[in-house]
Amino acid sequence: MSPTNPLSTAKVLVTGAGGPAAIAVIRSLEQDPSVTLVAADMDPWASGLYMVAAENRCVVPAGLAPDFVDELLAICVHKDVNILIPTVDAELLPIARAAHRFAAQGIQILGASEETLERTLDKFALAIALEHVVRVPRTEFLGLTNATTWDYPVIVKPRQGSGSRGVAQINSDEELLALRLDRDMLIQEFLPGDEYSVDVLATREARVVASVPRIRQRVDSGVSVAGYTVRNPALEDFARTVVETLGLPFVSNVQIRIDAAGEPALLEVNPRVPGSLALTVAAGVDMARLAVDNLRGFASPSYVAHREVALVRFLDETVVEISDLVEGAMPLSVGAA
Amino acid sequence: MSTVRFDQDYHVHSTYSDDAQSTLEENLREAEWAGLRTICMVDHVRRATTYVPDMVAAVRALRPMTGIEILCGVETKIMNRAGDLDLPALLSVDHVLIADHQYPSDDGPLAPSVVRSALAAGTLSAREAIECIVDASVAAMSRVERPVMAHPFSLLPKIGLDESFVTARHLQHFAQAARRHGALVEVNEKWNCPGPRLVSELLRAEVHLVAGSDAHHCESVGNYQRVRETIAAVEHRPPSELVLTGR
Repeated sequence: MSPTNPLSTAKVLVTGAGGPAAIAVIRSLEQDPSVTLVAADMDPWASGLYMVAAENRCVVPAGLAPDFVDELLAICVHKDVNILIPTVDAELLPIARAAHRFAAQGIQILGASEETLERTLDKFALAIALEHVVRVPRTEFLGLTNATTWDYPVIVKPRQGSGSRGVAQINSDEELLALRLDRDMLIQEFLPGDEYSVDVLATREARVVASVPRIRQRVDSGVSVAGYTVRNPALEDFARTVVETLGLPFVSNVQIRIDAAGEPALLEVNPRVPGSLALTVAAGVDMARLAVDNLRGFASPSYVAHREVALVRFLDETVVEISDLVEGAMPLSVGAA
Repeated sequence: MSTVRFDQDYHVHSTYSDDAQSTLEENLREAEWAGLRTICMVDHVRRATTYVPDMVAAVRALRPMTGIEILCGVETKIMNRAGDLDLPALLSVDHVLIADHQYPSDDGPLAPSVVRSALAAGTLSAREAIECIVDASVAAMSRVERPVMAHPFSLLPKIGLDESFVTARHLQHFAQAARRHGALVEVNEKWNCPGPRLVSELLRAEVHLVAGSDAHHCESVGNYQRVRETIAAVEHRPPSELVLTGR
């Protein structure tokens, strides 16, 4: 039952420290006395930086910057980091592409492989990969479709990208034909029913350990600020099938919407820690700690059940001495006065 | 569903007990990896024990990764036939595990070797010995709230007897008292007791049975081999069929 050589202590670097996902991960991992946390963000004002010890706050370039991976790797090596948890969409692929460079330094990544990420983040590839496995809404390239063959409304969305960016509802074929044809835009069947967001925990080998559906009751700036978990075997199995088919390890999030016939259908998959992880932790599945334990080489439970619980969020604050701000947060003249 | 839940462990010792090697945190982690839904952290106490408030605070401060229920208990021995317990005052625990570590004679605890000699010499009969153990156990159940009868009759092999000496009448007395006092009765991995016959009769008497590993190292937490075999024998099916409930 016990592993042969698990890491008795671990140093974990969490990126995107200003975001809700990183905050939730930090809150979760700080419960484990054997874990030392390092926080990184491109913004010296990112709140999560100030949740970790002063010597473990790091400012990194933007995920899309050419030197992002080099800088991040150098920090990980310098800080003796064992485990890297990327929480920012733009960082996922650059980090996954450099996984071998991190591995060579003994740094494991709590994330999917490059190949799995590409299949998940490309919404057309995702629909193809899953169309015979779960109910996937009809999805075609906008430039190649026949406008008269759709029931309206329909959804157009970018092939890449997450959240609601670039997503629009189109109500008629005239409206559709008026759209500028962009070869990276997709047209997708509209799903009229309720939306569920399912947080999924899987092992390194993508065996699903927990599947926690939740409803986002209030959303502010793309972040769920009120919601509740539900127990629903159909949704739990749907998300489990999606994650196991894609081969997504560790923590991911499957978005589901109910179709006109009342059946769950796939909206999209986020191959990273979700921003509302705190709710899933409160429901009895601490996905961050369980995933880190799995990466550390400890055995994983075969199944973790959750309970139904609701969560409301509010802003919180940390007061920091000016002298303790991360370098670059203030113009030099202010600090020097 | 099985008659005993294997996703529970009501008997896990930590370093608060002199003879145990794993910390509370190590035991909890092992329990969570094993998929347990309930763990009861239990350490040995005597009247003079002072660590209980610290231990209770440490158990309450544990931060689980899963929805596992964490209970806190102490394990104490029955002192005599009147059911007095070797227990410090002012406990705020979820359960008191009551154990037959020594023979609870009218005059206080006797070492098993002494009782074995008395049985061999004929100065004490097996029937009297069993009656004394049952009387003491029944009396002890009324002394605390939420008692758990830990490894009942584990004393018998130590005094040269076995469970076949426990008659149906003894067991009725024991089971009725357990029901009356809401006592849980542990099926214990380490001491492999009670056996299939006693378990069947306790189940027939509608006593609430729980599984306990009596782990003194985290590797044993929730690890049931002998308890599975016992329950499988009671339920007339192979141990491999007994999966964790709730899965």
